[in-house]
Amino acid sequence: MSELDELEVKLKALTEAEIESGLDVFKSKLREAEVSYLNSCVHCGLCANSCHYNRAMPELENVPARKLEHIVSVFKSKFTTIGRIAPGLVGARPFNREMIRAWVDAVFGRCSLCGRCSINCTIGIPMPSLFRAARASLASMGLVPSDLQATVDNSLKYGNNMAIEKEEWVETVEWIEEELQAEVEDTEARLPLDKVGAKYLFTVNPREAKFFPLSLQASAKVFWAAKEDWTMASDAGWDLTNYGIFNCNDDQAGAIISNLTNAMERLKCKVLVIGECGHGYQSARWMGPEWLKKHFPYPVISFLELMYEYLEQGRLNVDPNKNTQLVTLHDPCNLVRHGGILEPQRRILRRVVNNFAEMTPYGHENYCCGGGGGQLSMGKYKSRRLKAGSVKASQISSSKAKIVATPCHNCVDQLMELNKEYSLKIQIKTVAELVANAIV
Amino acid sequence: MTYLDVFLCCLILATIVWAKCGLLFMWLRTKYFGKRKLFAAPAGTPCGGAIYAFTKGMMPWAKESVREHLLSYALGIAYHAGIFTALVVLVMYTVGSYWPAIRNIPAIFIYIIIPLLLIAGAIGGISLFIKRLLDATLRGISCPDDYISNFMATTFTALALASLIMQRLWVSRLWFVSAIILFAYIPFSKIRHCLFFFITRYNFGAFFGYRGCMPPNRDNGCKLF
Ligand code: SF4
Ligand code: SF4
Repeated sequence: MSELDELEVKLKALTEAEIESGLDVFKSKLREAEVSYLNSCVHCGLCANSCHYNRAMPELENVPARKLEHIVSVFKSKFTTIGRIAPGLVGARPFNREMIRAWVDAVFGRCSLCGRCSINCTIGIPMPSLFRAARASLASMGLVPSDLQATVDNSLKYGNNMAIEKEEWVETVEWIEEELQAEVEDTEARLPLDKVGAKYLFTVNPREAKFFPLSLQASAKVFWAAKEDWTMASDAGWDLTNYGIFNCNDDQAGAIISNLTNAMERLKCKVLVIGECGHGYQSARWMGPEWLKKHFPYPVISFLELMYEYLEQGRLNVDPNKNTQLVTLHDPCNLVRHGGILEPQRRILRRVVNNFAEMTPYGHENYCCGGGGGQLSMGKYKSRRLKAGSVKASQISSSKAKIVATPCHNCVDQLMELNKEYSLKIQIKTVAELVANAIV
Repeated sequence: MTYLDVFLCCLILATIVWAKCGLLFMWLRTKYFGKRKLFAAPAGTPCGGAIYAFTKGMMPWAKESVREHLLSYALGIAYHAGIFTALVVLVMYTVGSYWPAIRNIPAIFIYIIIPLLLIAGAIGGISLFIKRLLDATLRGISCPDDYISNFMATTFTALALASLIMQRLWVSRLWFVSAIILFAYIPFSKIRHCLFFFITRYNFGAFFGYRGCMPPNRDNGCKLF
């Protein structure tokens, strides 16, 4: 059965009670801030071109205000007096199957939750917070695209989103350790597992273990060069990804983030370090404490912050002439716009490469690559994702860079697909890979 | 003042009270949903973010959406300045004669600045109305209220200008009626953004301020412990 048919079957099977409870879940996600957002759009349309979907495929359904309107119209019809009295006047519409279909299409099918529309909105409506509330409602009705849900289920079952068994993970780490020892010619170089009391608990994206071992090796080389006291978990607690941030089922997201907090407790580490990953950083640093409704008794930092500190403290000797090709930087939305980590990555790159150029625009104005919001795991929307990525592709070609650095493995995946799709002829690297290459 | 004018002034006052109560009711309803308690350790301050959102963050060069639509932005500013001026003129017309400070407004304001602001406001309102009619995207995201709200506010601004220039009683009365309709309509319309703009923009700034994203902080993440 195709994904589209699957949605239709699920929609048909929904009972009125399930629809009503879906609406209750939506309401439960709203606080006074979100309710003020729902009351604020003036339909000025100025946000239209801030969205990479609409820039690449100009059509009404890709306009952020239109995606928002699907949600606002339900809010008006259910929760405002005028929406009940005169729905036609204010565009209030009922929450029925047709509307639910529109929600699925808008918030899963045409949005990477990048937040670029928010900073460009005349009023300043943080739209992703409302899109998340809508996703949560859809999740409660079982309408999360099945491949996205499967990624979450993997994390819940195996402790990582790629269903890697413990033995496989441990073997991979041991193999990378051997490679690192050979590279740095030091038999003491380690990728320590389960070192109780280590200062830093380091977490990685499972794609590093499966497909990009050199990336993990690069991070390990940085730790080795800085003579750091660090470790990784052998059990659940090594995977930094959390697709619960995308299916917006807070219970599941909370259960996944607990893998990290439990590992911190088990291993008695002092600082939780999130490897290069945008959504992983936002999940652990910002959303995790909210999902679990507790303060984390230790700092949660990005590996970028740590690498920058090593450079500042002179703990890494680097030679930028080891990276001679023109490098540009892609800013992951979850790390920069939503995470506040804007500067360390560029300061690092300026020290470890001898030819660095920013994209236009960059930083918190940067365009999403198109892979965020769980898009990479929703096969049904692949062609839209690749088309929407054309905005990023043209940013990259205008930069004339030969290497695109990005501190996020999801972005790496999307950029690799864009590289192929738009024949960009670039290499895509993480920041740690460039740092490791520059270490002398 | 005739009885009719007194009656119209009373109606204006009543509809202003109505509009304020309506907005207050909506604000209280919003409050009813409660504040979100935050558990993540802050990287910045909500206040710093909010100040940025209302200052530098609102400058035309701060947002790509404005940089790419400077004309629409200018028309919007003119429109809002015109509406605000019309409100000031309304106060002058209704209670001005009892208020010495208003009676003594310098002539340059009465004959040049205020009319210019009202003209700009009317032009802004009409242009944005036409833009909404002609632009397919704007039409697509609009509901009847968008046209009605614009029409009412533009009419109110244009009639303020006409009253000031023509100095005819019937024009002023027509303007008073437009004010009454406008104020009565506010709680039902998107004009409620006169309140929610401030609440939303504050929350927007506070959210990003807490996370250290606003104001853009060059040192964020560069000083660890
Ligand atoms: S959050 Fe990003 S993808 Fe979603 S509507 Fe806004 S700009 Fe578009
Ligand atoms: S810019 Fe903001 S207020 Fe204007 S249409 Fe877009 S979401 Fe609505």
